[in-house]
Amino acid sequence: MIVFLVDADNFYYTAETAFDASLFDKPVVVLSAGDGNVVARSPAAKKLGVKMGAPIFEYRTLIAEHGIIQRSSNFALYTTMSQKMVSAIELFFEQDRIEKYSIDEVFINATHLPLDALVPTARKLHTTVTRLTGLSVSIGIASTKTLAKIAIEVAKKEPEQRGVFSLATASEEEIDSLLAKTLVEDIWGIGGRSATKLALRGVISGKDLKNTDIQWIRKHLTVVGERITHEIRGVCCLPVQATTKPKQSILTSQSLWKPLTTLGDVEKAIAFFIAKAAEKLRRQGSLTSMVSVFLQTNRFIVNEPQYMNSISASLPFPTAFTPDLISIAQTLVARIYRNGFRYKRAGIYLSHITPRATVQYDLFGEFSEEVLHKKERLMNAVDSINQTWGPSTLSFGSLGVYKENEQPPWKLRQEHRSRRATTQWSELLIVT
Amino acid sequence: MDLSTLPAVGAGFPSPEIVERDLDIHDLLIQHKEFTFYVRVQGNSMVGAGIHDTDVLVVDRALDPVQNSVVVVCLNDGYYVKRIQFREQETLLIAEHHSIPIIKVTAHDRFFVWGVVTYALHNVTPRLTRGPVVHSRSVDAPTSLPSANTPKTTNR
Repeated sequence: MIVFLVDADNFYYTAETAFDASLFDKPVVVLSAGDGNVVARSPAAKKLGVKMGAPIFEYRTLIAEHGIIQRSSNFALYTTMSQKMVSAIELFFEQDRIEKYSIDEVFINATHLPLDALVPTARKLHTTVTRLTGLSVSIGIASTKTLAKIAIEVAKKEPEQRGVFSLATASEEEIDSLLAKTLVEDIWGIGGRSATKLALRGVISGKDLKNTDIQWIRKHLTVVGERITHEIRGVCCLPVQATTKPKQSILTSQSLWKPLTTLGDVEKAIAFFIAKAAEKLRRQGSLTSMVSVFLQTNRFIVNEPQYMNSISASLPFPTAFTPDLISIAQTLVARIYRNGFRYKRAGIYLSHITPRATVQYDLFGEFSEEVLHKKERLMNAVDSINQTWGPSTLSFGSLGVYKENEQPPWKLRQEHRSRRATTQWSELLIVT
Repeated sequence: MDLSTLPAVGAGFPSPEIVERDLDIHDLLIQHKEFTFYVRVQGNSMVGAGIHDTDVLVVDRALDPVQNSVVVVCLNDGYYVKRIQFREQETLLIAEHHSIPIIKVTAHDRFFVWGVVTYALHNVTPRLTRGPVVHSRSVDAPTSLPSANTPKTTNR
């Protein structure tokens, strides 16, 4: 087995630079949804000591002193750029060899290539992706996914590798010496708790892990740890899987920038989350038959009364029809809502998700094919209008009606968002 | 009229169904769908090439620029649309406007060709309010919703 791992460098940052050259070489941070935490850093921002995941307010002084540029998450842009990265890879490899592992990582089964063609192919792929998309990527090559992960770290850290590093033709000794320099907690799939267990046994480096008794690993790190250990020994346990499975559950939740204090507002927030989740559900061609909602106060404010609760309902028939889901979720949330609390977080969770194609109808009654089709036509119309004219062009009454300058607490704050240059005609890149 | 209620007519031979797809403007404008981007023009520096202020350009990043291609370039911090000429010693960026000088790209510049411009989309409908229309949605408006874009365009 030969695995290529293609991974965009600081993906959100490199996606931002594709349409904004002024960001090159500058300290830039990309913030999480709602502008709360750092989710991506440019190399210059890393050098200044900005930590991944840290709340941005901790860096107020640093931002002012060094002119760090902030960007809100621009998911529309990142999604398009991710697809373009895959399209560029598809110029080199058949679709059934490509696994889209995450928004910025792609595994490729390159077993069919002759060994001496691996690095040249990777080099060509590397420059092609950058030229066609503007994204900067690195490529790791090895005999398993886990080793490819280790290889790509070398490609990223050592500039002399020029973005590509291969372990595919490396000798056992070469691999071992690299593993000796790799800490177990930096190995893909080894969590902090496993690393602690391993450290207690004196297993610190990847090389130590490679030489650890497999029975012991299975007992203490379960089958997950066993697979990783086999993988660093060069035995493939995690094949490249071309088909991406649709999501089995969808969670939409967020922290509210202003606490909610009335049932009316809580219901509107819940309706907003449902509308988003249901759209996702329809996009992947699925139906759900279990809805959960939850509410939570701000546990960091110690002197405020605290309350959290959740509730679920299983539906008599699967659906992706937003109005139905909203009315169920609102009924649910009214059951757990208590007066006198300030709610800081709310969310919904859709589970028991099944593909639309395999649905079983009732011959008659509420879940007949006819009713389902009618509801689907309505949702298709809503989705395609929102696709063309921008999100929330058509919305549901239960979400509440707001003026353009009004911002309800469940709408994300995005004060530093860049142009949605690939999805909105009104926000194209300007050239002079 | 509901055709399904019409009685079936027994005919000797069914007329052959000729299926032709309606024209799709994408077939004309786009060669490499995945690597085509759109940008908006500000200013009239390329007016001689038929590119006007507020036009939308179709930019193909999979095409190689040739001598005199109209390209979008990234020069230092900015994006420009210009005609490109490769000389032995230097690269020239040439505007198509009498008052704009030729730019010589030097070794000190951070410079790359961002993509090759293949089409300029120019709105020729009379506008009620002159001045730059930043927000012109006419290009992507689906034909079934022609009236919806008009107020949006002119209000801005």
